[in-house]
Amino acid sequence: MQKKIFGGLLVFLIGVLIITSCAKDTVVHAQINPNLKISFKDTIQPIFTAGCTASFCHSGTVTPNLQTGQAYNSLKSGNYINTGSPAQSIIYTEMAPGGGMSSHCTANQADLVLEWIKQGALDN
Amino acid sequence: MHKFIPVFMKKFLFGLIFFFTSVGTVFAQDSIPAITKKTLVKAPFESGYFIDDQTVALPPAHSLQLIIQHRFGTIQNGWTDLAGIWGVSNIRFGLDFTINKNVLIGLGTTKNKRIQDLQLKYTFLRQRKGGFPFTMAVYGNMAINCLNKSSFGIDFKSRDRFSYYGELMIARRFFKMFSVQVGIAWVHYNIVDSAITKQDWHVNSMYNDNLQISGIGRLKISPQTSIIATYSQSVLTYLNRRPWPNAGLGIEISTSTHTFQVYFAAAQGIIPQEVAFYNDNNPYNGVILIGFNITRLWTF
Repeated sequence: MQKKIFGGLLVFLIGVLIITSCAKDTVVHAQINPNLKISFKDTIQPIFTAGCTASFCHSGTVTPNLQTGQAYNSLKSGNYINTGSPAQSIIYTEMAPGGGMSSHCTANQADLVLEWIKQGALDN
Repeated sequence: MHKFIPVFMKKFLFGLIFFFTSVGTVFAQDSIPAITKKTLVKAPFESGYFIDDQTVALPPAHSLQLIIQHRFGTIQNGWTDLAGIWGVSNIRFGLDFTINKNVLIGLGTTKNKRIQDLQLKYTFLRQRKGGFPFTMAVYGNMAINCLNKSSFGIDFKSRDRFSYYGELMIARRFFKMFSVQVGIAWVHYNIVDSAITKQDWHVNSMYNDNLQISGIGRLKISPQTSIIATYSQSVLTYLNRRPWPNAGLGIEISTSTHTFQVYFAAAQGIIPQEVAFYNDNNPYNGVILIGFNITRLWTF
């Protein structure tokens, strides 16, 4: 009898915990001034260098190669960029909140990459 | 429309779980003499872990189970990273304990996204010879994403770290060599990347809820070795390409205290809500990886 009471209480508490902690939020992105021209060399490459190649992952062994001098061509040739629908670009969905590589960058850095793609993903 | 679907899914799934758990109570109350005469069929699976899925199987009561789950990188780079073995990997390390023969509680930690999870499994009906034809269980977990809050956007709330997974599983051991399980699951993330403006600025359009259906099968080829296969598919799809279905095929070697599974599968996420929500790997395009699960059991 005591076990049943304990079990019931446990289920009740877990239920309360789930219900009270459940929410439906969406990521609030930093608004980047669309007039601000984003440079691949000065803005995007440092993000890759700090988060992706410093740990020796995307530095030649794992695709795409995001080392300086290689990154732009790797992203283009590997179809990681979709200028027609920038938010569907693999490089963005991987870096965006929830993406597989979101551990290695911030949401703001993902936003910068997205904005760079929206501006045509130029090698500038 | 999209707000209606999750509410409907939740009500449907909770109703389904309530119905089936009630069936167990009714059977137990009305036919105790009959059930006690019918012997239990051996569990349809050797382990509660099955590639990226859960099964209805539970270790014996008062058992402690250590689980190591590892996913290598995807194989499509070939020799460059030795079919993903040198690539970016994911690993989960967990401990489960069976409170009694029907209830399991577990904890785990996963490398990707620094996820900590708490899980609960309850096997409430078992297959019997000449009796009830299925083994049925419910599984649920709650996971906490422990990444830096800068990974969640600019309006971070602590609750945004939570995600949930609840599944109803129905399994049958058809004969000694062959078992099958089907499952339906509700998945919820407290925060998702979504369209936040009408200018179509950030269009991922993910919903916070999803429904997943899954099927797994095991064919024994020797007393300790089995061929194992799995397939799971999220029901809602998003404007972006995720989530792809997960498919897996491999071999399981089991003893009374160990289970070892090595296989090819698509998902790298390990915990089930990651597989259901964020599987980037499309198995139809050959984007698969090598993974393995190891369990070790101590019974007290």
